[in-house]
Amino acid sequence: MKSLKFAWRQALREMRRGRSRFLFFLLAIAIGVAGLVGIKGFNAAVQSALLREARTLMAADMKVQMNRPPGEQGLAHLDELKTQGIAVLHVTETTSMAINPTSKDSTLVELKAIEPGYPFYGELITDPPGALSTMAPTVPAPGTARAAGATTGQIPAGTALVGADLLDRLGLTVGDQLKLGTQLFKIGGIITQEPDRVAANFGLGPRVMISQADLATTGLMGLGARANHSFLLKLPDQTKVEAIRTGLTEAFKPEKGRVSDFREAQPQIKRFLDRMTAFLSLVSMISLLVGGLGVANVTRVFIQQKLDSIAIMKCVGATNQRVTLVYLIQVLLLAVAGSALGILFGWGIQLVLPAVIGPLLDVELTVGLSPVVALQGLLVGLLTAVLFTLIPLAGIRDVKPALVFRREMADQKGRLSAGTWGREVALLAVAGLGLALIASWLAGRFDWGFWFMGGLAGAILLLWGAAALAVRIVRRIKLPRRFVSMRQGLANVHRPGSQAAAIVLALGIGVTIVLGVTLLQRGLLQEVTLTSPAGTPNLFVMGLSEAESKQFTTSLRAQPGVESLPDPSPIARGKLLAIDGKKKEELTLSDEGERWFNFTFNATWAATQPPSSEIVQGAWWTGSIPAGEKWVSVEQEAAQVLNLQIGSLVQMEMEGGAPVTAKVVNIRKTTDFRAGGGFNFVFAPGALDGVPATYLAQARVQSAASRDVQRLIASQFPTAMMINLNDILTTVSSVLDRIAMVIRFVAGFSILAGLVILSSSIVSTKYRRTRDAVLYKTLGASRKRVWQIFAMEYATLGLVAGLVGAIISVTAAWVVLKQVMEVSYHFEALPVLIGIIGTVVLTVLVGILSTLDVLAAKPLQVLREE
Amino acid sequence: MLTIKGLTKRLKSGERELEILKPIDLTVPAGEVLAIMGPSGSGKSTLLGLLAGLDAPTAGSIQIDGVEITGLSEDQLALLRGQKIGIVFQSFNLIPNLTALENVALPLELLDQPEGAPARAKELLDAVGLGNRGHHYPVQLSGGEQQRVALARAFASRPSLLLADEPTGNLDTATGQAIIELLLQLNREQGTTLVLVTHDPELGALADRTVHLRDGVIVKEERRERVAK
Repeated sequence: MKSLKFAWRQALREMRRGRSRFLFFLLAIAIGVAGLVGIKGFNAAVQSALLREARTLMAADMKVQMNRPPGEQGLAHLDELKTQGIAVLHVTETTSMAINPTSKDSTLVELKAIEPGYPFYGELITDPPGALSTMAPTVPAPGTARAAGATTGQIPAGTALVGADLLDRLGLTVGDQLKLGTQLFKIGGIITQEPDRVAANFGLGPRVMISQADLATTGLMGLGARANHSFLLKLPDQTKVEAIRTGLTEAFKPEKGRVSDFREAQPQIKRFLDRMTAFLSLVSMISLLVGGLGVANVTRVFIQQKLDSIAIMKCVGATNQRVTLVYLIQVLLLAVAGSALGILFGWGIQLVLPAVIGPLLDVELTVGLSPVVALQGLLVGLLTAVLFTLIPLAGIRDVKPALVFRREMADQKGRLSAGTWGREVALLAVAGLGLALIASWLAGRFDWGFWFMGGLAGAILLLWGAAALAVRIVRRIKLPRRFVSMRQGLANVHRPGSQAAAIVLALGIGVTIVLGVTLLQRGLLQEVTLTSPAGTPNLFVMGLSEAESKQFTTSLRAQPGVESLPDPSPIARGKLLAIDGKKKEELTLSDEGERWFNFTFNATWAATQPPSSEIVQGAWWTGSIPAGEKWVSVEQEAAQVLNLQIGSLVQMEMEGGAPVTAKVVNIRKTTDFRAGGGFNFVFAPGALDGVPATYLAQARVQSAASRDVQRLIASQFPTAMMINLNDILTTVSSVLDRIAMVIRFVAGFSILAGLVILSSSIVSTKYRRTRDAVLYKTLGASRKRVWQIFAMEYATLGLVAGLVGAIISVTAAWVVLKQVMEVSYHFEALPVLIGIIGTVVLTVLVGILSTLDVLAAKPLQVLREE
Repeated sequence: MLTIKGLTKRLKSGERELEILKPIDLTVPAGEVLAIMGPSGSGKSTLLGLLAGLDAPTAGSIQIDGVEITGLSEDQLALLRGQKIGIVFQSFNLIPNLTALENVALPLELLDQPEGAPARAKELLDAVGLGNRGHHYPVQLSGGEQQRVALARAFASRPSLLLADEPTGNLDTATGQAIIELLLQLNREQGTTLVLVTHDPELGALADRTVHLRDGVIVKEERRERVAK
C-alpha cells in the first residue's frame, strides 16, 4: 500500500513536465476508443428506441407472418381468438407495378393492404392530415400523444395512400389517379409515418397502401403472385402472451407461420444491427490496435528518455517493482484520460453516425452517452494501453543502476540479451491473447474475435515485412547528385534509428482497409453493371398468362429499341417432396440441403438448352421423350446440395397441380445468371403438363427506348410485374454505397491513428531533426531546401505506405471477389491511384506540420546548446 | 563497517579478458574518511561501483555492517542502498522532473517514511545553503548548486556509508572546495563512514586514510591524523 502511494506520488511528479508525447498517447487511445464508443453507442440508442417503441414498431402486441395465403385451420383459430376479445387485423404485403394512367409511366412498389383499425399502436400519419379517418379512432398506445395527421381506421374504397417518392417517380400529385393491377385508385395522401416500417430504404420501391377489400379487385393476387400475409393481434390481457404464441404457432404450422411479439423488438432489425455492430466494432478495433502500436512506440521512446531517472531511482533504493509501478501508473492515468477523451469524441460520432448511415433506419433516436458503453470504452482503452505497454514497461527491469554511475561501466544500455527475447515473446503472446479476448468481447462472439486477431496478426506481419522490404529498396535507390533534396530525403528514411517501417505499417493498415473496402464495393457493383453484356436481358416481366406472353412477344417485336427478345419462359412453382422416393427425414443431407426442402422453386420447361449454360453430366434432350417418362435437368449447385445424380428421381409438389416425379437426365452449369437462366429445375416438355404456369418474359431494350417500352408494357399488362434491371441496380448500389461509406468512415479512424503515430515519431526525433536542419542551414541550405528535404522524406514514407497498402488491398479484393465470391475482378487504377496520392498528401501535410518548429530553429542557438 | 576480502573484477572486452581489479582486501572502520586515488583506468570507480552494489564482482566478498552483499539480488541491493548507502555522483544525477526538495525527499519516500520527508529535506537543503531553492528544478540550478542538492539527497536517509565518485570532478575549483567542505562537515555531524574516489590530491589530503590504486592493485596506503576544526 505504501509503495503504491509512493508510485502514485512519483508518477504525478514525473507527469508534471511531460509534454507533447502525452498528447500523442492520449490521441492514440482516444481515436480508437472514439470509434468504438460511437458505434456501440449508436447501437445502444437504436436498441433502446426499438425497445421503447416496441409495440409501435410492430403496430401490435403480437404478429404472425407467413409467405403464402393463410389456410382454413389458421383462420379458424383466429376467429376463436376474436371471441376471447383479441383484436385481429389482416395485412398483406406484395410487390407490384404502379402505373400513372395518363403518362403510362410505371414503377415497382411495395403494396400493403390493411384492414380497418390499423395500426393497433403508433400512428399512420398522412399529408394532408386526417383526411382518411372515417371511423372512430382506436385507443392510442399508452403515453403516446396523437399527432396531427394521424390516422387510424379505414382507407376509403378506391383510395391509395402513397410514399412521397412514388409521386416523384411517376410525376403525380395527391388527388391524381394511380393504376394498380386492373384498378384505378385516387391518391388520397402521402404517408409520412408508418409505424411498422423501420428499414424503409431496403425496400424495392415506394410504399403504396390500400384497403384489404380493394386488393382483391386489383387482380394482383392471382396465380404465381408472391405475397406476405401477416395477422396483427392486440391482446386485452398481456399475461397470456405465451399461451397465445403457442396456439398461433400450432395453428399456422402448415403455412410455416412465424410468430413474434413486441418483446422481441424487431428481431430481424435487431439481428441486422447486432451483426453490423459486431462487424463495425471489429473494424474500429483496428484503429484501436493502430493506436495501441502508437502507444507502444510513445512509451518505448518515453522510457528510453527516462533511463537516467530510472537508474537514479534504483541507485537511491528503488526496487524494480516500484519503478515499474511508477511508469505503469503513468500509463494508466494517460489511458484513462485518453479513453475519457475518446468517449467524448465517440459521443460526437454518435451524433454524426445517423447522418452517415442515413435513412437506412427510420427510427427516432435519442442519442445520449450510455454509461454501459462509456464503461466499455474506458475498459477497452485501458486494456489496450496496458497490453501494448507490457513490453516497453518490462524493459525497465533491464535498466541497471550502474548506468548513471560511470557510463563506461554500463554497456547494457538498450541491448537485448537472450533472456529478454524469451520474455518479449511471452509478453507478445499475452498481449495477443488479451487483444483477441477484447475483440471477442466487442464482437460478442469468441470465434470472430480470434479469427479477427489471427487475420489481423497475419496482415500486420505481411505489412511489416512489406514495409521493411520497401525501406530496404529505398536504400538501394541511387539518385543522381543533382537531386540534392531527394537524396537527403531518401537518406533520412533509412538512416539508423529510423522508424520508417513502423510508420509505414501504421499508415499502411488504414490504407489497406479503406482502399480494400472501396475496391470490394466497386468490384461488386461492376459485377452487376458491367456484366449485362450486350444481348443479355435488362427488362423482366413476370406474371404473364400464356396468352399474354404471346401478345407480349408480338407487341415488343413491333416496338423500336428492342434488341433481343427471347421466348418467354413458363414458370411453375413447386416444392421438393422427395428424392428417390425418400422424404427429407429419410435422406442424409447437409443443413443447407434440408433447408432446400422448405423453399418454393421456380421451375420451367424447355425444349432447347437454356442460354449461358453448359452440360456438365449427361446430355440435353433431343428428339422425342419416351412416353410415360418425365425428365428434368438440374443445375450443378442444386445437384450438389441435394446429392442428385443422373438417374435420380425428383418428386415435386407443384402449386395448383399434382405431384410430379421426374428423372434427372443431365446436370447443367449456369455460366451467367444475368442471362435469365439459372432455373434450378428445367423440365423436359410435357413433364409439367396440367400444372398451371405463368410466364416470365425478358427483353434487351436500348436505354433510350426503355421508357416507351415500359409504358407499352404497363398499359397492356397491368397485372404483370416489370423489373427494370437499372432500377434494381440503383437501389443495390445505394445500399452498398451506404454500407461501404459507414465502413470507410469507421476504418478512416485507423488512418487517423496512423497519422498520430507519424506525428509522434517525428516529434520524438525532433532533436536529431533540429540538428539536421541547422547543419543543412549552416552548410548553406536555404530554408526552402531544408523544407524540401523533410517533405521528400515524408512523401517517400507516404508513397511506400500507399503502395504497400494498395498492393495488399488489391490482392485482398482479388482474392475475395475471384476466389471467395467467384465473380470476375477487373483492376481499377483510379481508386488505387487516389488512395496512394491521398496517402502521400496526408503524410506530407501531417509531417510538415509536425516539423514546423524544427524548420524555424536558428542555427547559432542550436549549435551553442551543444 | 566495511570489509572487503579478495575482491576481483574481470571484464570481457572482445576476445580478451581484462582484470580490472586484482584481489583486493580492505577494511574501513566506522566513521573513517577513506580516499581512493589513482590514475584513470586504475579500477577505483569500479571498486566504488562494487561497494554500492551497482555491479557484481567476479570473486571476493563485501560486507557492509556485517551483511554480505555479493549474493544479494538486484532488488535486495536497491533496498540496502536505500537504508544504508548514500551515493554522490560526479555528474550530480538529479531527477530532472523533480524539484530540489523532491529530489532530496526521494530516498526517504522510498523507505516509506513520507511523513517526515519534506521537513527533513528542507533541513538538509538549509544545511547545504539552498533552503530557499527547494522548489527549483535541476535545470534552474548551477552545477555547484546541483551537487549540493545531490549531497543533501545522499545524506537524507542518514546512511551509515556514503560513497562519493569524483564529487568535484565536474565543478570549478572554488565550487569544488565548498562542496568538499560541506561533505566533510555533514560527515562529521552525522558520523557517516565516507569512501570517496578522486584523482585530486588536495581532496585526498583531507581524508583520514588514502589508498592508491594502480592497475587494479593497492600500491600505497597513507594514514594521517585529521586536523581538528
